[in-house]
Amino acid sequence: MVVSSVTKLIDEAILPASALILAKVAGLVLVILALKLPYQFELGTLFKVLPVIKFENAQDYLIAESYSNLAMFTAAAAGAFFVLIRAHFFHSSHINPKMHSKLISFNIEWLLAPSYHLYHQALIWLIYLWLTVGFLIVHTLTKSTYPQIAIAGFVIAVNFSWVFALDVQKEINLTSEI
Amino acid sequence: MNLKNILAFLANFSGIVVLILIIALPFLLANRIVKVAGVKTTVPYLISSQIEYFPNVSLSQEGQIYSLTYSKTSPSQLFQSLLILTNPTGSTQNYNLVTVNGQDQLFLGVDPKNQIIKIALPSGASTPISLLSDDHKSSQKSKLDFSIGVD
Repeated sequence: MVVSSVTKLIDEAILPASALILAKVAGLVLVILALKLPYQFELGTLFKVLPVIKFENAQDYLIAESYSNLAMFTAAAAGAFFVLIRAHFFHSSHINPKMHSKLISFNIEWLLAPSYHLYHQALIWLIYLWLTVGFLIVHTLTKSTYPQIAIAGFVIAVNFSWVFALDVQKEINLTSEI
Repeated sequence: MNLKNILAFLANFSGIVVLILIIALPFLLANRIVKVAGVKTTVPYLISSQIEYFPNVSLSQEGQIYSLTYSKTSPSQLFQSLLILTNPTGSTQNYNLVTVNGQDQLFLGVDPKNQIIKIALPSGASTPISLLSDDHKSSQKSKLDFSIGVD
């Protein structure tokens, strides 16, 4: 009843959502431990259930937000990078035969994926990547994140989108040849 | 439009809504999980002075007692909005004006015909404090001491 693409997108969206949340929390924990930032941990504040971490001053808050947002962006970029590598080198529609035989010989043929799966994955990861860039930009404008992170994020997202567009173009060319 | 089509529409609509929620969730959490602690005020009230608009009026404070020193220009004089009382706390507070020393009438608000000395102020709200002197004495320096009680 539900369009298969919608179901597929929901299916693919769960892992990136979890990865971003974990990366944000991990980034916060690491920066607090590494820089020994004083903080308060309040339970039951966020959505009346989840905890909130409060920092004593704006400087500590800026450092913690910046590094945790960087960790979150890194998770989004890493996921998008993995999917793009898979789409470029391990795309079942246009994989190099030598590469295919190498995958079989190393028993990692699971890396090979069809367009339907890859493009749904890539779409989701790129949506998350661009939303993370937007998040970084908004936080930069509200002076709660270093601007360098937003700028680097924007450049990376543009490049990844370009690589993805190249792969889509290759796929369209292949389909039109057939 | 039969039932099957309606259900299909609803199912797909719900699917899109779920997808948007899943995509938005990390950003909603990331935006709210870190805060900076604000300056916590322990002061139950704030007094703002407007005596610069009134000639011959001065204000001083010693501890919780405020002293107004003033000279009238007529036998009966109303000093409207001499001071502003503000509630800086996060909840409604009950204040009362206590005249410690002085002959004149200090009250909350600006209407001398409706002199109130007790008020419940919501969080962030303000009320003026006015002074009515009608003891018909000639112009001379008068003094009134008062404090703000908080229930």
